[in-house]
Amino acid sequence: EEVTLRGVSAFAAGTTFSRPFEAFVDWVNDNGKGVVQIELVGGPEAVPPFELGNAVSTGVVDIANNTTAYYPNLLAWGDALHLATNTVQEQRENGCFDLIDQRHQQDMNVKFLARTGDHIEFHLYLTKPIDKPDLSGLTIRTTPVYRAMFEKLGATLVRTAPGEVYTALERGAIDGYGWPVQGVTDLGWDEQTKYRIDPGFYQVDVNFLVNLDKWNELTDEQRAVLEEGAKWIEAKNAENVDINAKEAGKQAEAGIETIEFSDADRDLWLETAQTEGWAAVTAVDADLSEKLQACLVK
Amino acid sequence: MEWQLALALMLGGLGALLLLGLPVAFAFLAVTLVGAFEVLGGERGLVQLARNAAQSIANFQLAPIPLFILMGELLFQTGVAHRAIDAVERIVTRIPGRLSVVTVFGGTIFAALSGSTIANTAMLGSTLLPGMLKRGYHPSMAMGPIMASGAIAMLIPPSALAVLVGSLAGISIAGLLVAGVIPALLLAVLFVVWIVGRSIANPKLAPPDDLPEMTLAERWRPFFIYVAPLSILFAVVIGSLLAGIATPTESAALGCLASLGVGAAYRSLSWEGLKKAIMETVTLSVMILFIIAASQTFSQVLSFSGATGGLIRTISAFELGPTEVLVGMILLLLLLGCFVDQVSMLMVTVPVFVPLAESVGINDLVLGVVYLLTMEIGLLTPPFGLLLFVMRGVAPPGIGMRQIYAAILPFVVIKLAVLAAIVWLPGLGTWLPAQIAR
Amino acid sequence: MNRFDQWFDRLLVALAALAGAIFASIAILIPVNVVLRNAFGTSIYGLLDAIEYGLLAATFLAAPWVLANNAHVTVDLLTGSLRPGARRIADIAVNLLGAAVSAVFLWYALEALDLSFTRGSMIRTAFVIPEWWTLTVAPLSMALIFIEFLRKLARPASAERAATGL
Ligand code: NA
Ligand code: NA
Repeated sequence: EEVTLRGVSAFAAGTTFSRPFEAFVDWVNDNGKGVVQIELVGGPEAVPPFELGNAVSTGVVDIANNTTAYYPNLLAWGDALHLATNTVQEQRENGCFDLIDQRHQQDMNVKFLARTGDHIEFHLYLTKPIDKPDLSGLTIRTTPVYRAMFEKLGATLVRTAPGEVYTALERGAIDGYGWPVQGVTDLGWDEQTKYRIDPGFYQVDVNFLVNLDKWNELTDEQRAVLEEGAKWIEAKNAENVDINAKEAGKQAEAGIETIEFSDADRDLWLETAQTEGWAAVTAVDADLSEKLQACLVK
Repeated sequence: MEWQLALALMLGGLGALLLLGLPVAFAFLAVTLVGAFEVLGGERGLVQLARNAAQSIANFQLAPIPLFILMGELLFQTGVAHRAIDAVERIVTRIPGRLSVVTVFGGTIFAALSGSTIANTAMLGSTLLPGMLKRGYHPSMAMGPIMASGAIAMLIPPSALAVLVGSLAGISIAGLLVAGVIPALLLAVLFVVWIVGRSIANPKLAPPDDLPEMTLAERWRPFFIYVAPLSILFAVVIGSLLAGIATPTESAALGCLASLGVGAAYRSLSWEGLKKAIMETVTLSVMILFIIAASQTFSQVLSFSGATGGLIRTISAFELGPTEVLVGMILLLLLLGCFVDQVSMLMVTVPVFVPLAESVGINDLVLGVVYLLTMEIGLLTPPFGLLLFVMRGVAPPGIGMRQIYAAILPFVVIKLAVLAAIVWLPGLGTWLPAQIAR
Repeated sequence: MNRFDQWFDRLLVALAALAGAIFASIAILIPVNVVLRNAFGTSIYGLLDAIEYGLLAATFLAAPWVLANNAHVTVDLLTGSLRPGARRIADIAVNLLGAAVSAVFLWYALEALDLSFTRGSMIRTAFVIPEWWTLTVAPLSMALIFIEFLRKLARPASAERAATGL
């Protein structure tokens, strides 16, 4: 008997972090005829992004495309996921995926089905040049993802509403912001950005979550289709390397210069990112932090 | 539930409750509660609805609403606004419908200060409406220009909505911000033409007042005392933005403090007036924010039911040429604008419209300007038109919704005409950005 | 006016005054923050989050007072032209519906509060606070609104909206 799941994405249809989920939905609807189908109900216009975690947890939504940054109220240690330096395939291999899945089930009543976003690193974008990992004197727009790291490096941190970032950059009220390599040109912020700091750090985690009660109701055959689709879309994570390169090209075309540090500064930059990031996770759950660090970091 | 049924029930139910006289926010809540139960899966859907309502208000992007309203209230309660208008009156003479014309000028200038149409309308309404009504202006000549020019705030930078259109639709934000300027000025000119024409045809609508004979000095002195210093406010609000000291929201807060300072400089500050300004700000802001919370959850349930998407797909299914596509999009946006808020209009249509426009070769700046204009019109069309509610909030008790609808009608027609002009002559939107890009 | 009415009115005014204090604080703290950032390279920690909670609290806390002043906007297209008898019936229907809507919303807002409390969800923005704190204002507001609609039901007249003084 065919079952139809109601899916919602935390990201607007057709944008960078929604595309893999849309491809997954198409794959399931093609390969799961008569078994399982997904009806893509909508994006942030249907469920507010910061409420999507709760909606999939309680079963208002059956399957969600979401990132841990949007559900820290339900999963306090979620920041750990973007600290990963290995791939989801490696995480499935070394047992990390199962640990993450088990804790998602336990903490927020959802099955952790798939992870997309591998290889998409976060970067610091600036309107003024710097030559070493020292952000003192710079006002940076931040989100919880970067806070610990940028703070350590001496930045003045502000939280700017997304709709104000463009104007704030244009007028110089902020000197920069952190963002993944993909998506900057989508937002139009490239028009007001002059520099990107390389290397990138962390990795985007965009996850497919299935309401656990719904998951338990599914037959083995239905679950198999979803699991197979998950592995299919995760295999496509490798394509991000090319997409990143294209995106970096678009940024260069838009006039964004790349700033690269010397080797020693580069190490300091990346090490600060990891150290500060894990310290924040450890503050929430020391035991889990240790386990995750062991299997998420190469 | 089939989406057609959900659509009919939700829109029909909303219309019936509004007509019955249930306050707008509660009419939205009532329909949304029933809709959420049906569409979001029973009781857990209602729990989710309660959470979404809170979430939609806890949003920094809404902060300019109380701030600009407070700024207007401070200017009003200290009498600063009143004296400034009196002073402007003395020098703007011999134009029929003078105060309505002053409103359009003021609204267009304020639009460059504020990105919020709500705040712009509230500020114009609280400072200009009482004076016009006192001088015997017909409510339609008083309120129509206030709402119509208040809405221009989203076409002239700074404009949070233009930035949102640009980023969601993948259109150059800088280009779009500039593209809105010519249509905005065209609107202002047409408003003035309409006002003057109407006032000549029927002088009773805007009584010409018999100012006593005055010397040039008598005429201009108040201007330099009461109006020229107000440029300090502009300097603070726009200057802080241009100098990169403040973001748009921050400049609104700076404007509040500057208004307080101006009030103090004229020695017209009192605790009583300050208290009054704050409590009026509470009344108006809370009324608006409460409606925003209720209408956003309504839009969410409507989207979740598949009604919005179904409607869009139905229109998109016809295979049409570029002009027909553009007109179809406009009609759909205008229809949506009658019932949902601007951000929801944008979010549900962009994923379909942008690729569609690209496939038939519609210029993206034209699409962007069409978005801005239809969203602007949506603020003014019944039953759900935020600026109409703002007007109701600042108008004296005797004024009913019916009069407000009647007052805005001619201006909506002018806006539709400008919209048609852009379909006809895309250069209205694309020319200026092209000049600047060179 | 009986004791309860007096006491209730005072409560609504006090909550509205609290909302006023919140808006005024926002208008003062943002400029302070601008000065701190531009002159001293520092800023008020968590101001954006505090303002978001402030907007939430002010809106819900003052909404009952706005209702008591008949300042929530209504569309009087039809009701404006009704005869007094029919108008009275429409008034009763509106107040009953309003009471019903706020009662249902109150119930589920309480459930949302209870679920979050039981679960122990924490908000992690600039501040780490229990999520249920942010879910308390909506039910409080709806309870007061429910009572206010009942008061309107019990007290006919007062059809005219109080002047907002603008
Ligand atoms: Na503007
Ligand atoms: Na409308």
